Amino acid sequence: MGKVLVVDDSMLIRQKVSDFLLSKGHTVFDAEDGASGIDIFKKDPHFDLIITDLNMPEMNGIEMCSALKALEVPLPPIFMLTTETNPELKTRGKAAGVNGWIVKPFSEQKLSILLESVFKK
Amino acid sequence: MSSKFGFVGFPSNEIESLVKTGALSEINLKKGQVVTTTEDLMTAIKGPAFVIGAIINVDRLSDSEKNLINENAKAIGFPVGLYGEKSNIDRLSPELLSVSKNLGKFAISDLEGSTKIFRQSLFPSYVRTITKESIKFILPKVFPDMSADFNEVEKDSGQYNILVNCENHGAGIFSAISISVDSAALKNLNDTYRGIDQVILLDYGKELANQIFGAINFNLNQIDIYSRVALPVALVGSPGSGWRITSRHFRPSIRLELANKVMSFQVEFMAKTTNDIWNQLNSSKLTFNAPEESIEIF
Repeated sequence: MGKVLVVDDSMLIRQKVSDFLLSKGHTVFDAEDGASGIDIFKKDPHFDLIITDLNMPEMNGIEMCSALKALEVPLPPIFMLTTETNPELKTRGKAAGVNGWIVKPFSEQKLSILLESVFKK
Repeated sequence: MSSKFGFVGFPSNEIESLVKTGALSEINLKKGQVVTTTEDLMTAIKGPAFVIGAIINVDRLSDSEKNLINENAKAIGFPVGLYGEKSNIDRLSPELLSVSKNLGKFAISDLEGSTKIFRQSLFPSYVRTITKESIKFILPKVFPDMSADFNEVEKDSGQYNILVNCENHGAGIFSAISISVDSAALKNLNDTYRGIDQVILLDYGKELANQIFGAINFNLNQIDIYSRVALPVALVGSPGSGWRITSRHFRPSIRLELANKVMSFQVEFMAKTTNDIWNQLNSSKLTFNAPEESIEIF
């Protein structure tokens, strides 16, 4: 079981993703924007997975990934959970250290695929 | 938005008086631009502007002006309201007539009827299809037990007190969604929503707007149109009060109201009419694709 950071400005999505992860036995921390996500990560960077939204106030998901990369500490896999499907954003995400892209709407099936890919390694 | 947004009229004492008296705003047109020569008319419609239509009094055109309009008929590309003698109208290019509405004798009521025609005809057919299907697909995912049983309406009839707005921008397109919610009606719908907190309701509304655009954009990507969703914003009023609209821009739009009047969706969409995007949006035979299976591991 792992420790997961969920970052999304939507309470609905944070709740749904967290409930699913908790039901699978994972420990979950959550944040409502990129800046808060970084604060949580800095306090204890030993996460196994980060799932983040892209469009958020204060700091968006790609900006958060760039800031995490700049910390120069080992990072867990980072997955974007977003409505955005623009290839240009995916390219920018990759450059910022994003490891995968999940398009909303949220589904347990999609998260299961993601968890399998991360935790079987 | 461009200052050319609205109607252009030529040669149009009538349009000018409508602008001066503010009558255009009564039929949801924010602005009308009055031009006095055919050259100005052509300049207005050829620019990168969101011109939604033109009113032309054909009887007042000289032969050289008719020729100029005929020569540029293809470039006009948006609905034109023609009024005047039939014999004069018939002398215009068939290409122009194919996008025109013959208003006959000019009257404000004709113009009001024409705004409806313009608003509907300038909302691209492919976008209309994917908008309706996106709402049907996303609504029950964000609001469980909610059926997207909606009607296309001219005006809302529900008593809405929450308004969520979200914009979506891309190269050559601009779109926006306004979701109106009657919180009292929602709470009375079933036990799922009976005790829902208003803060959570606003959060659901914003996520709904975000995901509807996500589904719309996923489909626009199929025809190589890429845009980006902005952050949604929400406004709250007193339950049952309904919104008092004090000012509205005219934009090509559709309005979909749920049969139970718990929610209403107005989706506006503007695209450049002078490039390939417009043709793609109106001629695509693609059907709606749900973004369900989209997961990509880099």
